[in-house]
Amino acid sequence: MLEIEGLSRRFNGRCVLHDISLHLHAGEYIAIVGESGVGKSTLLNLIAGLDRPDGGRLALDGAAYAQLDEDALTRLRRDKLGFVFQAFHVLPHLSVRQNVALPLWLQGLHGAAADLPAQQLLEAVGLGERAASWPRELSGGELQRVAIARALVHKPRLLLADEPTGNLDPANGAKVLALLAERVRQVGAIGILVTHSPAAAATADRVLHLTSSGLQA
Amino acid sequence: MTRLRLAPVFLGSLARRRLATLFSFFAIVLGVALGMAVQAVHEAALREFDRGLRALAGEADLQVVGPRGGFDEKIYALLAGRPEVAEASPLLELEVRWSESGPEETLQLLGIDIFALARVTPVLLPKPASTADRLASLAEESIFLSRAAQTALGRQPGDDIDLQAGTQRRRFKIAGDIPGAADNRRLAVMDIAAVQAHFGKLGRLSRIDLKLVEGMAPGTARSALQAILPAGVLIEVPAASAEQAGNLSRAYRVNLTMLAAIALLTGGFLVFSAQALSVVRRRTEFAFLRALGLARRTLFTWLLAEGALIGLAGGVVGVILGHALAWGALALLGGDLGAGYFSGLQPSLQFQPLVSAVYVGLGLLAGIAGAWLPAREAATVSPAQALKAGDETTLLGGRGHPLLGCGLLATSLAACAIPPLDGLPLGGYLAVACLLAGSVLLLPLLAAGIARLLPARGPVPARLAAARLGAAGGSPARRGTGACRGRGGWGADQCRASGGDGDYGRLLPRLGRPMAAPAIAGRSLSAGRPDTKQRVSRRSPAGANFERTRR
Repeated sequence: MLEIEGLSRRFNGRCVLHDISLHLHAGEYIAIVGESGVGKSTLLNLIAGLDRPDGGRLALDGAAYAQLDEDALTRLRRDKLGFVFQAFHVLPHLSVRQNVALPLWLQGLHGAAADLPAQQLLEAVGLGERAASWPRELSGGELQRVAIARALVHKPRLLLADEPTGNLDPANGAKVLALLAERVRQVGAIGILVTHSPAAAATADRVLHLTSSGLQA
Repeated sequence: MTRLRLAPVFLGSLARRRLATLFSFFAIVLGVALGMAVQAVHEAALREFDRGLRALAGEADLQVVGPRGGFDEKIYALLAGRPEVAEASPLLELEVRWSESGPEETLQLLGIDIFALARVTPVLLPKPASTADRLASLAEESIFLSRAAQTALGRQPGDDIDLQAGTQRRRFKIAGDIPGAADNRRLAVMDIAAVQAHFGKLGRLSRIDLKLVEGMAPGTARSALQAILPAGVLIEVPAASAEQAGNLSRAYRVNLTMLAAIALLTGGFLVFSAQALSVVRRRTEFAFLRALGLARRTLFTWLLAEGALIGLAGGVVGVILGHALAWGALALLGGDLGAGYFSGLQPSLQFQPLVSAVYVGLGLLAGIAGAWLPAREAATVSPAQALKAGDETTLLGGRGHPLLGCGLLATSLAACAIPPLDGLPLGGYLAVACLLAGSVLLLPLLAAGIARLLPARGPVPARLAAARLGAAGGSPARRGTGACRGRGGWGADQCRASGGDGDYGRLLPRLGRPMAAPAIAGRSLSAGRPDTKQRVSRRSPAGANFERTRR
């Protein structure tokens, strides 16, 4: 369960997020929409433990972020969080399978223990035959599917997707969003999709609007 | 094992940026190879010199040496009669030249008293050839050559040979060899009286080897004997001669080692430069890895490992190349690299595992040192900040360290006035180091100044590069980044729109293209920081005004 209570964040004296509260349970897939600059990415960074809030409380499965030091937050991200970014972040010098296995490598798994789940996830996103390919041989849509497989390979409790279709054409974007929603529901993770596209947000179970006055349904 | 599994993530990127990696690698190879070669050549020469000295000194407890022109032979009579001395062997040592059709060769010629020599330095006793007269060693026209000298000069017993010392040129007959001489030592011996007579050294000696009476301490005898010798004639223990040879060649050895150190430093700087650029370019990648759960410490360690791998590879190849260079230098130039300190020696190269390991270690150290700062920077940056598009702009500000650079140049000038210390120009070395460091620190300012002087015309990429160079400061290692990448999202890198309008503001007047200005402004607005009011107002050379404001 993800608990967000009274979260606030300021930058250079300016309040970007103020009194944000949200409770999400396993299997819930929501979309957060809002205009550019309203603080969507800031909220995502706070939920990911990449940034510290100025006020409020954040907890995942009962573990309060405020009580975790940097190493513990790093372990939390490694074990319980998955990320899908707009820019794919697929490492060009690793094969497709190696890219997907990356979170498992970080957990200390290697050999078949990492390759097998990676291959299974690639099969699930329709890229099983491209496992040995290099990222440069894949299209944008395929790269984002690799990124989705990578985000889910270690069975995260929370999946964060930041504008995952921002670099894709509408047709590929729709496919990727459908795949993302399907896989998140299948693994029973909490899914948070951040986007400024109403069409993308519609693929989630619930849509929340982030404005300067807070998070609204 | 967990950490090793990440090797492809980091080391794979070295292969991706082959050129930068190769430059760093070759710079370290050069530094290590030069240092190793100088060390190996000098070690080989000193080892051979020392071996020769030990052979020449034989069982002598003390040696009497004088100035270059030698000393009066009456000193021999004086010392031979002293109660401390059991045996005294007079020697006259000359460097003689020989040339026929090929290049000139030098040879060490020892004039000996064969009877005294037999008691003090028997290894140098000449052996007449079977065809020669049994008393040839006392004959005025007979000379004995070591095997190495016979091979080098292409002569054998029974042949005639012309030798020259100063203006004196004489012909001798080779009467035999010197069986006790080292295999590769070019040496000739003949009767001392004959040498004095033939080469204008009548009444002169260059050395006397002394064997002390049983139970006499060399130190005590040395003090007592030194007191009766004239100024300029000294008594030494034989080991001191080797030390003197080491000191003689120290200047050239230290200078060449400093040159190697500068090459190694350059290698380290290139590693730093390549790693710094790489860290800037991979900033988002590292932030992403950190977001995935890569620990800060692990990232730091792996970035150091990248530098260490370049350094280690450079060190190993440098040591191999250094030995090859040393082999070539010994064959072509000799043990003193042509300086003339060890002429007549034919040193042979020997692999020294410990010294080689030290030089491999130096290469490794240069690689790690070069990677340290970029690795620390990459590990300390906030992933949230680095994941923002255009965040690398924060790395490229500033104008370097011009004040520190000027200070170092001033120190360099002042260091030139420092007198040599123990014969070594340490002030000179300090001046060179300060000059290098100061120039590097002033480079950003200098480059920006030159870029501003460039005319604003020519192809757009060239103008962009010049504008980038003039606008961006930062460390010397990173100056090229902006110019090469054209950061700001011009086409290829759609995710890298710059966060600030300042750079574009500075770029616009240089670009001088009316149509480009609104496009740039639009990009800046769409990708800029959302929490600040952004205003772009520039007048293009063509006169087109525009202004857009967004909250």
